[in-house]
Amino acid sequence: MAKTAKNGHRRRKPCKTLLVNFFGLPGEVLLDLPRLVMLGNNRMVVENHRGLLEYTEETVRIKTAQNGEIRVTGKGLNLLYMAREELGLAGRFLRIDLPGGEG
Amino acid sequence: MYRWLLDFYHGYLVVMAQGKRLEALLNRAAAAGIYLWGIRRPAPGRLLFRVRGKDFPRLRPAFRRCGCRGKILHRSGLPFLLRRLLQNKGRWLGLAFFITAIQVLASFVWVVGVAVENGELPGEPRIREELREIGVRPGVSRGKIKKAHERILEELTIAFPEAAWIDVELRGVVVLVTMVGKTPPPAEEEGPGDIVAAKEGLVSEVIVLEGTPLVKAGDMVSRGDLLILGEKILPRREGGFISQPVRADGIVKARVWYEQKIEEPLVIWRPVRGPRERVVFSLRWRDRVFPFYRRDRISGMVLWERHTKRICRGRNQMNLVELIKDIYSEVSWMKVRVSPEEALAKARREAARELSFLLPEAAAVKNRREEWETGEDFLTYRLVVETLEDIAQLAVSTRERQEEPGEDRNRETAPEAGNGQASGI
Repeated sequence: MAKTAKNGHRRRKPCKTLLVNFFGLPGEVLLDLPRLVMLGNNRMVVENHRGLLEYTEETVRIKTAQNGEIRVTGKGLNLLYMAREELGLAGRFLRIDLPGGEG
Repeated sequence: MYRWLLDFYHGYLVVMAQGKRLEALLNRAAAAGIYLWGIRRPAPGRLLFRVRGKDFPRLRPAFRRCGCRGKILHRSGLPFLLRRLLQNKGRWLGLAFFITAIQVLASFVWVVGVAVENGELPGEPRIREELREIGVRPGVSRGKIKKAHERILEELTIAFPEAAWIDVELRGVVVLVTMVGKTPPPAEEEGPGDIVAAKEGLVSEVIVLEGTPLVKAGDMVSRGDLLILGEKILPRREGGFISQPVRADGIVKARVWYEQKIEEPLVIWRPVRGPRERVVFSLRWRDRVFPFYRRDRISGMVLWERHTKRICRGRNQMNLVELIKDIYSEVSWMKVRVSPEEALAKARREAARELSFLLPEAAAVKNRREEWETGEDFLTYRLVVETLEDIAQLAVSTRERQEEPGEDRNRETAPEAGNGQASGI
């Protein structure tokens, strides 16, 4: 079902999204979408991030493109490594929220 | 593992950052392309992370802009280790001193070992004393011993004439002197004796050095015949003769014949290789052989050939490791007729080989005659060799033992009892 904007008009999908959907191209490349790889519930790799918003042992908030955010809640969270486009996270994950953002 | 090795090679720092905007610090570092790892929050407002040594200067603007303070807690990796080692001169001096000390100490002889084997040789203290006088003692440089090796051997040979073999071996810091004493041959029996014939032959020449000859040239003698009697006939002043027992000595040359008869078969069974063959490669290490595989056995008669190859010659001086190739071939036996020429050649070789064991070294071959006869299944070969050799052999006189002890060894012979010939036989 097509989404509706606040003013009542149907919101059109961006051209890039249509292109990706039509040709089956990788979204994380063309649309800057974050890519999450999880190994069980204690390891995670986030690609295409935009930096950290918060880092404690209980909560890690990662900024993604288009004002998106990934919120990981857990125990003993630990940042394994952090590079320009990729970061690794370890710990016991209890909850992962993906509020905001588009795509 | 690979990552750890790379980090160790490049060197890394463990850094503690303090401040309020630590997340911003991480973001700035990531944006600058600086790789951080092992990021932990030990306490609120504090951050621990690892960074490569060469990237740390690039982090300083980020620290400043985020209002954080950074402190290096630990330096790790090869560059820092090398720097520490190079800075510590005492350690290097100690290492150099240690190596030099080992080199210097290893250039001297510290132990002199003496091994005496066999024979009657003077005791070890006497040998050690002699070695000390020659200059072989603990504390002498190895080079000196190496240079004077020949001289030491010569001086030891002069000092110990009773030694049959002397060896001076330098094994690291040990000089091992090995001496083997002479084993004297069994003492010859003394006393009167006769010369008898050692072999059957035709006497051609008699040379008497001591005793009375009983044969002359042209006589045919058998083994054990008396040739020279161990008695001397001496004339007495008062008349008559005295028979005195002596040790007979002389040379009795005779023509001796040796005969060798060989029967060589003309029909033999010969192994013929079949089509099936199995090759097994093995590795020998000391006394143990490790085959590479053992499948596909060949049953029945098998011909086994072994080829060995020494591997790693440079490091394998004592032949500890060897590559072995065993070829097992299927064999079937076939009846083959040998040509008379081939059988004759084989019989000749066999006869010559067997005769070589019988002929004494000093014998001179005078004549050689051979004859053969070819039968249905065998070739009969006969070789006769004529030699000229000394057949004299000393035999202890039995007369001596029969005499009573204390009896006068000289016996008188009445002048009318004989004509000068020995009568005591």
